[in-house]
Amino acid sequence: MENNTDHSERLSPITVQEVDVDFLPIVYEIIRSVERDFLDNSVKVQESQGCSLKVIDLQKKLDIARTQIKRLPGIELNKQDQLKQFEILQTQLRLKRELLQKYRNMCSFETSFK
Amino acid sequence: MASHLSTRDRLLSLIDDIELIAKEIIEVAIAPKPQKLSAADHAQLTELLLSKDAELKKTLELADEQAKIQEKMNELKAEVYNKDQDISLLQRQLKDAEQILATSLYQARQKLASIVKSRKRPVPSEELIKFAHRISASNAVSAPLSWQPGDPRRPYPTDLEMRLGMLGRLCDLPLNGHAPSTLNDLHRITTGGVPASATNQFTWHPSGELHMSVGGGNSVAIDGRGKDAPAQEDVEVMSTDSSSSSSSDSQ
Repeated sequence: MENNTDHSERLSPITVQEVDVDFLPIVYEIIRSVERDFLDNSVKVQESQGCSLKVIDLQKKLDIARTQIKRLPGIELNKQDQLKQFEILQTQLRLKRELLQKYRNMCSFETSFK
Repeated sequence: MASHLSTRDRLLSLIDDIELIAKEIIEVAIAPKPQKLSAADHAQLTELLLSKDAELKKTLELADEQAKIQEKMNELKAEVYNKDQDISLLQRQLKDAEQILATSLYQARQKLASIVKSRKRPVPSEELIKFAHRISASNAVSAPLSWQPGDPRRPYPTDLEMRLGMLGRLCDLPLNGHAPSTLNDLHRITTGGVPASATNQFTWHPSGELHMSVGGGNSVAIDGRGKDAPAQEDVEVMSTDSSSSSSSDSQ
């Protein structure tokens, strides 16, 4: 099951806009609920449970963000190396075009007999 | 150090960092008062978390740029693949053309050699015409237009002439181990009288079949025609000058 999920993750790339990295609001909410002082004990327990849930949410969000980052295309290299690869590909294409042109222009035959 | 890492690894490590800092902040917030960090340390941690978050966002922008570059690279790769296909196709065609040209060149060289050879020993056209006239004057190529059955002028020999020729005489060679050793022997045999055994070796039948007589008086029919009738018709059409009198020629 997990293998299938990994496979589908690799197969379907996503865009950067789809990656959810808004962790700060949750961290802020957790800190705020921890630092709040409640006089009522039942409210305190309730708030504590809510805080635990938020921590679990944060953990989940972090894991989802990791998974989504793994699905982002074109980030296997850093930008410099990627640009180098891009240039290599461009050079390759130029050379291949030149080679094709050379092949197409090489059909000039000498017809005069000596 | 960071520049050597791939963008993906940088993003993942930033998330790890944010996780660690967030945990630290939460633990500090939960901790009892004596173990709590000073406000300055707390602020520092918070700033660190903010800076990591900002760095993460910036790196994601970089990832977006890289995704666009990757898209262009994919297009380039597809184009390179297409060019590869074109190149291999052209190479194959050029290889074929090279082979054809090599054959043509070889034949052309042979022709050039024969041209050079003919230039070295030219034959005057008058000589050629004279020779051609000599050949056609004896009706060796085709019978005259006014040919009638019984006319001996024809482009092929009669039965009698064939029997008198060298091929007809070769059948009379003695089979008891005595073979003509010299050209003179052969000439003597071929210019001698027509043997009785050879006279009736080939006979024409009215049906148009050629029969060869073998020992014991039996005869074997040699079907000179093709197996199918149209082929025979073709042959008759093509040899109009000489085929009309095959039955009367053996007289």
